[in-house]
Amino acid sequence: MNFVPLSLSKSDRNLLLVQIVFPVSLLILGIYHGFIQVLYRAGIIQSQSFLGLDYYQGLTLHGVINAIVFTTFFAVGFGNALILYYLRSGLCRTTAWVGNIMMLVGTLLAAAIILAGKANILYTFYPPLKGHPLFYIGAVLLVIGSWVSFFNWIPPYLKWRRENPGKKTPMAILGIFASFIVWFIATLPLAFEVLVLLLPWSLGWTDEVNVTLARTLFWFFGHPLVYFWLLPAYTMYYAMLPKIAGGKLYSDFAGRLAFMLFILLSCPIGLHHQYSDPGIQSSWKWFHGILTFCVALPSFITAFTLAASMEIGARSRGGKGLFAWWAKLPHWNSKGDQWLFPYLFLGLILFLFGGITGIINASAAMNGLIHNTSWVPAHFHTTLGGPVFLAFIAMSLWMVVKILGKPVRYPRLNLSVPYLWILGVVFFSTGMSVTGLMGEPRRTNMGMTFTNPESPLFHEGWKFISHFVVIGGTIMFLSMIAYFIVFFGTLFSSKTEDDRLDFPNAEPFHDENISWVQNFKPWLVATALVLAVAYTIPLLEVYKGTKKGAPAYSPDNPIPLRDQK
Amino acid sequence: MQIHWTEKLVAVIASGLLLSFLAALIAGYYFYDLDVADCVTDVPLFSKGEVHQIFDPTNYRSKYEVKVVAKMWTFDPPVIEVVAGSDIDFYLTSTDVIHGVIIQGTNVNLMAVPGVVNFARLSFDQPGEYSFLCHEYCGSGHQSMAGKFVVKSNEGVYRPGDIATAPVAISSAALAGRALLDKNGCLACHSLDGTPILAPTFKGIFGRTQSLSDGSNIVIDEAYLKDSILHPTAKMVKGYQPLMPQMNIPESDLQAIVDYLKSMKVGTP
Repeated sequence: MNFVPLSLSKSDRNLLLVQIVFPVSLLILGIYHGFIQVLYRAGIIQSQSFLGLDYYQGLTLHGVINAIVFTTFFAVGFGNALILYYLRSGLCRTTAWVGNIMMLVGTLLAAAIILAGKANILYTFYPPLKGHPLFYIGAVLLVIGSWVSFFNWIPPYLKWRRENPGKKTPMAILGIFASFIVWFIATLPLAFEVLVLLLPWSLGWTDEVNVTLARTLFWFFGHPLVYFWLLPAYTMYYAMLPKIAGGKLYSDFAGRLAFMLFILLSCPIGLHHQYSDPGIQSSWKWFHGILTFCVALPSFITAFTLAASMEIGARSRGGKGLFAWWAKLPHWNSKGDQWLFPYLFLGLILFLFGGITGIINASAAMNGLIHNTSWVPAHFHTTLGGPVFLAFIAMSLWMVVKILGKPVRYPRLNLSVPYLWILGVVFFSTGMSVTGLMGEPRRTNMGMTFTNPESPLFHEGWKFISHFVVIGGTIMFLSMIAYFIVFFGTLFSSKTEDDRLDFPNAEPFHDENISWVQNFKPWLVATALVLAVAYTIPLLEVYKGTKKGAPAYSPDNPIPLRDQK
Repeated sequence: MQIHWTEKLVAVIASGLLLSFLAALIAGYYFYDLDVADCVTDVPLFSKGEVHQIFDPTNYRSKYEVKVVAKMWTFDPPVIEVVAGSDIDFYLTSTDVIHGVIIQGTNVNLMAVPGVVNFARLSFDQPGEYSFLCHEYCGSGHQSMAGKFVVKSNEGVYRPGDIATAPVAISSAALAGRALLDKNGCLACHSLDGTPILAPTFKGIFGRTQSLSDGSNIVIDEAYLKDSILHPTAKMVKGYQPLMPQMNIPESDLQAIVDYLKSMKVGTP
């Protein structure tokens, strides 16, 4: 299929700009605390707070902004752009802006509450630690705003299907729909947790909350959340990366199958985050664990298909030999659009480690060694902090470049961003993995005790290895400073090219036409069935098995809020 | 149109690899008893930590039943003494927010969730000290929440009751003060038996000479105690973090607490 660059209406351009520039700007705060956090953890900062920001307050900001707000905003903005570009039928302007404004208001509410120190409860907000009600309301607005934006894509999609009978949906549209179908399913239990359990309880309308039930609902959301992060990146990998590499997508079928398998298997696996939890039968944890192994299959297929696609690209650029063709890929080339390549490619390299450590986490026997240790952030900085983050910041820059007609400012600095980032993550994650295996806890203000030589809890080994983590964190921080210079430098430069939305479009090498991966319906039915099997009994068990509810606590006082005068 | 043979081969190899990982897990389950935490239904909720030593005279070995309560920001009991080689049934719950525990030298990794009891069986082969710490964020004092197993050599014969600690004798007049300590959550951070937790122990507090964070020394008297309960961060004892919330306690209750603390003089059982 051939697509010409698309000229955007003023409203659509502004919509996309808000959805790209707002989250990237917020990222400054999230990245700042990421860096400060490694200083706390290494014992370089040995206090409860630094420059007016409490450690756990900053940690909440880091998680909420980087993992929830940035990703959700980007996915919605990227989705809007893909619908406009590939389906060419326009979006309902009112609905798009209603969704966007809900997300903006929700984010600003939640951010204000966190900055005021009224919700130092981390992005998982496990009860019975209680945040200010506006924190939960902000989260709900963000999620519902994203639903509204998603529903807005369905009419143009159905119209396209009607007008193009027998044609395959463009791969990028399939990918972004897969991502938002997973998001919609996953946010239903989250909406239940927040609206039915937590919000009335935080307002004081109900006295106690069932903690295990809330936790189980959270992880019903929490694992598919990672695929909601990953699938927009996969969309770029399948629909765009082969073109940037100079080749073709090795197999069209593989891409479509992978997206359908993610819809089917992303959700019924949340209990593998709760292997250490009481109140849930181990047999159900094993069931979810086995399904978690199944969801690794589409990623294995992806690894092969993408490597094959890049080999096609490298050979068309004159690459030879069994492995020597790798050198012919555009690893450092700022000509045209090729700067996108290292961002996507290096993300894939990090994901090799992310995938393997993920399989380790899902393995019941090994999970006991690493659950809630610093191994876990080491893992997700090679997944969420690897392919997802690199792809999202790259595509944010890409869209700004295209829709404003402003070529990348500082092209060499831009090329250095993904290289610095991967180098930083390698140091960071190696250090965190090693201390994790030594039992160092995650989400802990280590500098006050475990890495403070004056504390009775001082741990010399953790202190030593945390220096690697500081080196990694510093390099990652420098990488992001470079990115912000490039991004805002480009944004505020002057227009020199056509301001049209454009994406790289990869042609398929093997263009299979297999109907059962081209229709969502059978997969949605199967998904509903698997979910019903995987969650009905565990949810009933935690509902009935909890012997006592919990009253609300604030994070700085061991006495329940209701008993404080 | 067909699926290319290379794609099929990759699917087969990837599935085979995943199946072999799964087989390893199942082998671990059958041969090494590697399982995840299960649902405990036969143990009622508890709110006090306990260590029971059960002596088996036939093999001169002890078995332990340990009940641990995780609470902001301490474990009850904070120190658990056991004999090397004994089986330990470890029960865990929380009386406030979610906590977790990871025990050094073992694969034990459990969440402590209010309203539910968690369980693991463990043992230590070698004598020594094995620390455990809270690995789930539980509020501003989370990074100080830790405890330890003290594992003694199993040489010689142990009698039941070795571990039991003698209860502290309390006069009836001070009972009201003791109850107030429980009610206000003081004992989460201040121990009664001399164990350092997050704050100075109450054992022998009255009349003790104490170094303060500003470098001065004082003898703890009634005025200092009352003052410190009402304004906890005004005169901090050296080496502790300003974690204690400001208490709003009426004068009559304050007097009862101070009376109880007076009875905790050095030498009082």
